[in-house]
Amino acid sequence: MKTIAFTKLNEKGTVATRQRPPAYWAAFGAAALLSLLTLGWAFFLAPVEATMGIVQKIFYFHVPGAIAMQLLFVLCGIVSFMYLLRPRAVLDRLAVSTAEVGVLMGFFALTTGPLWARKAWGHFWEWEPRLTLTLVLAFMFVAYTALRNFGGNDELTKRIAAGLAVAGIPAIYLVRVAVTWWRGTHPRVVWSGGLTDPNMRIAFWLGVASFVAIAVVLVWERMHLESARVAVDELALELMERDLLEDDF
Amino acid sequence: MVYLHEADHHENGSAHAKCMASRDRGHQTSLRTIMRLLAVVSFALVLCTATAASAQEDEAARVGTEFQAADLSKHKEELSGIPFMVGAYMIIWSGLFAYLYSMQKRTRHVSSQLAELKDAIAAHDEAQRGDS
Repeated sequence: MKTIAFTKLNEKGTVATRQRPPAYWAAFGAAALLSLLTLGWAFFLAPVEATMGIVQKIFYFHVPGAIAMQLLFVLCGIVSFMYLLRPRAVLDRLAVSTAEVGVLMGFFALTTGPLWARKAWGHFWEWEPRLTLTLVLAFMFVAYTALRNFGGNDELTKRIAAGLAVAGIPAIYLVRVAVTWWRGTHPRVVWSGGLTDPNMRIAFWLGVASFVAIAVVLVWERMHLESARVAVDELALELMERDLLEDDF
Repeated sequence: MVYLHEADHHENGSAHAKCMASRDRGHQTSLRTIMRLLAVVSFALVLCTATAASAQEDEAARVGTEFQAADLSKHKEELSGIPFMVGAYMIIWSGLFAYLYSMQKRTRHVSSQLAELKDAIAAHDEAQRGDS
């Protein structure tokens, strides 16, 4: 018992304190550099928009936040589908991490958008197809995160959560096409070539790159934490079974 | 015929000279007008440059000694969204730092659990050694 427990503890202790690989630091540096470049470009080089004025600069962070959210939710859905087909711990950890960081990005998109809307539309919120569907999508993944954080570590919880994430993929598609299908009032600027000034385009794509890089760093950190947490839980359970640990651990 | 021609020539020469003199006078008049215009333009340029230089000197002198409120009323509409923009950026930065803080807190919790497990195993080892 002693040997097994120590081996596992050492092995898992190593998981908890593992050094970050060079790829992580590269992503971290890229995220920091791209964020600074985005701020500089958005505020000093991109011109003030003629109709909306300075509030339009929210766009350089609101839309990249929404794009990062959609990418993370799509990844979570794909990984969850793969988990349902073939359960593997790494897939589960990746799904949990992408869902949680995706919710954070969704929070950015859903809070900065209304601030822009207050100036552009005259009110914070409108029950417009894209906005409503984005809110529903964010709630779906909030439910996923809550289920994973408070629903225990058993296989059934993992599979139910994975099913929920897979169900989110059509919702992501609907968010993308909502403005066209239901003629919403949400602006369609990026894909219809509405960014006329080259500096506006550069600021926008720098914003997208910086949000994606930030998301990569956060997902890596969250996966690292998740693997340590799962390892500690498994070890604690084993020690409890052998009466080496009290049940209220 | 020759004389006649010479006479004609003489008469014509005299007319030609008169014509040339008249043309010269015309040229001189237009030259004078151009010169006057140039003088006026030069004077205006000198005056403008002097005024601009004087204004710059005044501005430079004023910058060091007093502050005046800028008139932004023309840009009022463009700048009215500043509170919303600042609010949006504050949400993003504070949200990011709050998430990082929560992750750090959770990592600390996992580390403390790991320390507890180490203690439990160490206590078990101690007890086993005591039994043997």
